[in-house]
Amino acid sequence: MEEEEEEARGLLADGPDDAGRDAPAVPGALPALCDPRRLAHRLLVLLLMCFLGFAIFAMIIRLPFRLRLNGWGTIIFSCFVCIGQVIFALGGIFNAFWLMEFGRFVFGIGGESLAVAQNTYAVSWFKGKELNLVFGLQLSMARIGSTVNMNLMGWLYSKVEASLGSAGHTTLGVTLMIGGITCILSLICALALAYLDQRAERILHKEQGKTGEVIKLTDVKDFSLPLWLIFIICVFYYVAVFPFIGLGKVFFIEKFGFSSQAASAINSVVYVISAPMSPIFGLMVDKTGKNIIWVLCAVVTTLASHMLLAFTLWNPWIAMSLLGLSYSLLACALWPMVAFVVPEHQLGTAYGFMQSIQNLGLAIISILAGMILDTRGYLFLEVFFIACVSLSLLAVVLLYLVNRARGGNLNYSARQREEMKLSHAE
Amino acid sequence: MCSCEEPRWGWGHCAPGPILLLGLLLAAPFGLLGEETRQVTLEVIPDSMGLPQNLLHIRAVGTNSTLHYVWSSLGPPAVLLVATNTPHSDLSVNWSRLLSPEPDGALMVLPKDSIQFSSALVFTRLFEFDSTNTSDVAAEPPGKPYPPYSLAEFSWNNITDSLDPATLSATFRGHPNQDPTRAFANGSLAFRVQAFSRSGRPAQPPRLLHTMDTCQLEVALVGASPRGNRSLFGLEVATLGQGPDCPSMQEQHSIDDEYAPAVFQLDQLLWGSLPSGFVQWRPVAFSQKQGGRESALPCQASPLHPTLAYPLPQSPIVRAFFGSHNNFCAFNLTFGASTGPGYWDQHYLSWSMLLGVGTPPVDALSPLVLGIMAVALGAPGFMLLAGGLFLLLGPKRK
Repeated sequence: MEEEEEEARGLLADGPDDAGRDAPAVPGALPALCDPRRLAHRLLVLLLMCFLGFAIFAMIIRLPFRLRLNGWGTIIFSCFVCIGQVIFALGGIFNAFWLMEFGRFVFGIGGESLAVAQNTYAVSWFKGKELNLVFGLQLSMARIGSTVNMNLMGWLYSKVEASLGSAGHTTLGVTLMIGGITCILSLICALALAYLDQRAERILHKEQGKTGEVIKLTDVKDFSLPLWLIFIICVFYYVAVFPFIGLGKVFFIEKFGFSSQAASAINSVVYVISAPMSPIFGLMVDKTGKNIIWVLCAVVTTLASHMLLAFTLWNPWIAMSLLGLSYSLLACALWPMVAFVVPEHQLGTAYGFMQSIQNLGLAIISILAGMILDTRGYLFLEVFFIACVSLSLLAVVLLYLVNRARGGNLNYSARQREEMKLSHAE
Repeated sequence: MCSCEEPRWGWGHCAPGPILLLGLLLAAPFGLLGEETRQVTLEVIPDSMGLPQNLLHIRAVGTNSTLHYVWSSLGPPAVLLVATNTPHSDLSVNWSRLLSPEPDGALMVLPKDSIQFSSALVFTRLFEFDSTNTSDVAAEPPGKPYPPYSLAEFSWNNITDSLDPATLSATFRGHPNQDPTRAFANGSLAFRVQAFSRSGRPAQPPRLLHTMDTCQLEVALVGASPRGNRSLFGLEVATLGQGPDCPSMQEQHSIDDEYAPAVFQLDQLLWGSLPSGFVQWRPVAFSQKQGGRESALPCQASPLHPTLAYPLPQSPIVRAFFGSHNNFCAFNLTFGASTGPGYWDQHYLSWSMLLGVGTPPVDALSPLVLGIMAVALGAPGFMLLAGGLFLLLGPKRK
């Protein structure tokens, strides 16, 4: 009963009714935009969180570890992001590749941990029904950031080249420095969020939402078979999407005869589609449940998309649109499954581990993909990605069978989950 | 450029994709069956006074047909391609006539009535363009042209020294007779000819699949000094049409770039409806000896046009075999673009082509790709089936 009331008191509730239940009376009446309990204020905070993500994903690289954080941690990592980007740009200006690599390294330390910050803030402010929607929107903004990067940076480079009069490392460095302005935006958002969070905590005397963000590596031995299968699905799926997008532009130019602009556009269509579709799919999966079936659909669709790209000369817009849809669907259906199989106090370790091995897989496969491409060409690379998706598919099938055999709850429909919750509450 | 309509459905002549995919799958195992071979002999024919004049006769004898490739650097480098339907045909050379101003009839393949197909390719000129102010890759011409080198005015090495019976190959290496700018002081233009007795695929890019009915030519420009900072080179190739029309040039788009990474196209010159002679090449040249994706240059081929109108460097070999009134058709190949890798990197450029008779070789998916696809698609399905059966029929849990 309490949970129901809490959910009802989510984003949509406002006014003095909720003030009495879990918090002491608020001294004085604040304007809607500044009152932490009010919808308008929460929307403002949502906006800031989204831009935090936008700015990061506009420049992102991932690094496999997560740390405990609080408001100060967010600001520190935001600074890492800004400094890292500046070092990266300087490496371009001074034509020192090692400096660029160092810059990316520093950026990665901050960037990955800021993703955790988003999580924490989201749970803290939107605990309850709208949390899935918020995750979906955050993912959307991140993908919009990636799209903007893809389409804008090339144009920016040519403009800088035109004004400086030469192509080369200086132009690259200047372009990166200009692009780094979004990292300043991220830092501003981090400062604003930290301030608002501290203020809300002070006004409402509320605790930070507990999501178990402490890493305890000994928890790893407690992970169940379904969880390991979820990890395998995650790793083998994402290594067939991100490295492909990274190498895809020349593929579209050479095989399908696209121009450079058109090839960039089609490359970014995955992100452009996932931006609006992630919240929609999030709502859909929330309403229907049956997560494993949705994951299966997503993986099969990705397999079909890669096969279309490899073995036919059909217009690649079809295949890339399918890839975008299935990528969004998988994100909405797969990540919540971790919460179903892992107790709450281990959730942080589980998500952190999943993120880590995903990044490790991406790092290794990116290098491998480049090597395969240089020696054996695009068809073989696509076959390699098909093999990875097939491994992911194998893991999904296995997960379904294991879940079915053990009578697990991963594939419950939404109604079944409601019934389980009600029967537990009694 | 002659090409079929927008390639939507698959590769080849606009056939639907699934049918050709099936063809690819079926073609794969044929390599494992027993195959025919040809007996190939390479012979450098000396002239009547015993002086080597660079006339190379490659004779590939099959069970009931013979292919004659007559390569020569008398005049511009040229090749005569003759296919006969008997294993006993041979080339007869009348040297005194060949070296005279009117060489008609100096070369003959006997018996004459056994000739099924005959044609010739002549490499007439080497072009050079300055591409510094050109940004459009497909522009024709690709830059400001320098005066071309006429390959009829080159002097060539003695190919007897470069003859290699083990690989069935020989190399013509030449430089201009008159070289006022000393561009070829440390360089040369080489034509490496290689014949084959059976099907195979070389390890050297662009890894063209050859059969026993083909021979391969590799044109390499090595060490010559370019006349500009960003020089693009080109080659003019002339050929004889079978009738009043020129041979047809086709671009075949393919899904398979296993053997030439990032090259999805195969260009062909066909002299008539199959089976007849063909020339096949990949539209790519390489700026490094070991080839590879980072040194790949795009190769543009202009459409074939008849060339009665203006004088080409004439080849005595072609005139000797075919007589003097002929309709020549010519096309230009240009290698490289103004940006990216180019001849300027290592002063090296190489391009390969196949010349043969019959059906042009077709690339098929390698067994490794087919194996991986079979496992990738089969394993999840099998697992689902096995698991489903186990759940239905296996021990029931509460």
